[in-house]
Amino acid sequence: MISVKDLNKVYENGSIAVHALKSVNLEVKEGEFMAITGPSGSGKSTFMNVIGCLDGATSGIYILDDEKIEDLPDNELAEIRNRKIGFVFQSFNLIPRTSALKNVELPMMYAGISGRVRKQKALEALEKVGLGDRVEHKPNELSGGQKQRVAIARALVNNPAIILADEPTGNLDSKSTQEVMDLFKKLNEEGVTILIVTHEQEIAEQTNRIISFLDGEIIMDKIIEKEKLEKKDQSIEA
Amino acid sequence: MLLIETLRVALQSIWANKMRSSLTVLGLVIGILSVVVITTLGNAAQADMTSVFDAYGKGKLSVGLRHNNDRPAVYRDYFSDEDITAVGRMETDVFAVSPELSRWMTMSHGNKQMSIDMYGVNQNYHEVETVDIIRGRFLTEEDVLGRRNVMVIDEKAARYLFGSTDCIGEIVTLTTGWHTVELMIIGVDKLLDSAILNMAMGNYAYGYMPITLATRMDSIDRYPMLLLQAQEGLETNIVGERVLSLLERRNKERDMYRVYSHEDDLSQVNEGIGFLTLTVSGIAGISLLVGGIGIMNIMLVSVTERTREIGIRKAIGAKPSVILLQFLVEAVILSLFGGILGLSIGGLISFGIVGALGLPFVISKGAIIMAFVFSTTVGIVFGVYPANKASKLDPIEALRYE
Repeated sequence: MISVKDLNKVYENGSIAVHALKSVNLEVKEGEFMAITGPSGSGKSTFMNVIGCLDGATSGIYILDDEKIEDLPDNELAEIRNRKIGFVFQSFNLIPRTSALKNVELPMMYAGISGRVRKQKALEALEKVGLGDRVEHKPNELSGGQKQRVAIARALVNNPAIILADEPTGNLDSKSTQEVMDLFKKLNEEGVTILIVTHEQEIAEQTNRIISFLDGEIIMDKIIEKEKLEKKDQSIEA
Repeated sequence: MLLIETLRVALQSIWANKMRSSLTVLGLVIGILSVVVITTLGNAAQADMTSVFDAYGKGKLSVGLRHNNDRPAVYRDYFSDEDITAVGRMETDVFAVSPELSRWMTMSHGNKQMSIDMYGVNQNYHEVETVDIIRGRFLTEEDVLGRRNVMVIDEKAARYLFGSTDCIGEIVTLTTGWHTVELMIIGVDKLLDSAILNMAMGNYAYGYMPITLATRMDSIDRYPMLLLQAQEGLETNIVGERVLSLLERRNKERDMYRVYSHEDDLSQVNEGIGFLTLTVSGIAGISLLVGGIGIMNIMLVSVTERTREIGIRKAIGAKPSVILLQFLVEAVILSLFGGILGLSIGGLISFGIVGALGLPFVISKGAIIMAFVFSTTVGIVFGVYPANKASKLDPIEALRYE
């Protein structure tokens, strides 16, 4: 699904060169549910931007869904983001004054999908995230958890290769946090590949694989045992 | 599909900032409004002049003396009775001819007194100029040959001296300063059907008297000007050329006379009105520029305000061209809105003014097209820079924008 080889990212900040990513290698398989952790400045956000095709790497190879992502023109990057990546942000980033339905329709709009199909798919996606009764609500009429679920519906709706979630629970209370994480788990069980960037250990441990960044390098790549995950679920329920 | 969405978002964004949007387009509204009012008034004035010409001016020519410096015109260059007879004999070309000698005189009746432009003319004059007798009659051949003390007065003078046009048979006194005569009013001439001309003339009043009487008062027997009516269906200018060459042959003079037609007058007047309209429109057009800058300004503000939204749209797959189109469409809608508003208000205002002046109301297709073309152009020209700026935003930076 994702294959990263010897990826480097260097920011030229005046005369100082900042080495944000140093020879990063990573393989992500279809259907994985993983977390990227690390302190701020560790390179996890830069890595996420590169993976999300928002930013290009300085050197190295990045293959997303059998497609080699090089220094492509903005138009093509936009198309790849549209088709293959679903973003979920910490601050929800819904379009203001626009209904949940219209927000979810937006990626399909940019993909050139016709109105009727668009509306139907958007309704299905909102139904899936449990907001079937909130489709006409504007972002300011929704709670934080609901907003984030709209954002997840929007990320899902074009059937992307991967969902990239950048601190998706950072602005949520604990109840909404768990709702969102449960939603991610459910989606992952249905086969959606999900990558969460977080600095919260609690969140990271709910995924199946944790990658830790420090100073632009991956310092840890840990597969979490299935049993342990189930046990943790039980302990929360208890 | 995307275009409809683009329109929807643009309208929504404009609607969300109603007050700001209205103020932004104000400059454009005023610009378009001014241009519409000015062109409509100009067109109305031209239509008025043309209708006057069509009613009265077709085929009318006047022949006068050319004033050139090497050989100044003198009294003996004036037209003689023989010249008039000769021109009158050009029957295939000339329908009627009359001499004309005009003098400012003071006209008085009882204790009322006024200045009047008195034209000495012959009985053919009503064929060569606009004369529309509403009371009494015009001068006859007998009046002219018999040098009778009679005159035709215009409606305005009649109303001033007598309070009405009911003044046939009244005696008035006219004086040039050296000579004084007493004339009986035999006819009243109607005012022109032109708001513009009547307005331009103000208190101007005129009258007609037999040419024979006028030359006698001035102690001359030649005439400075001939007026004539071409035969119907002939090119007025060709008739003018023929009359000119006849006069040149008779008097063995070249380049002494000049001829001009009412058509020349009309096209000159209309050219003048057109030029004036264009100039004033041009000046008013500057406010379009100002309006355009206003739109650019507010679009730049809008781009900054919506930086984050632009970032979101880019992240979920909006191409730069889509963002560009979004803001361009918004700028164009904004300026079109201004254009339509300006056109409507301008139309109403000019309808009011034109109505008050009694001119024909012609809202020209040109003004409508101009309003749309100008406002769209302003929208595009001044929208491109902000839209381009929006389309080039870095999505990462934009998403981080607070």
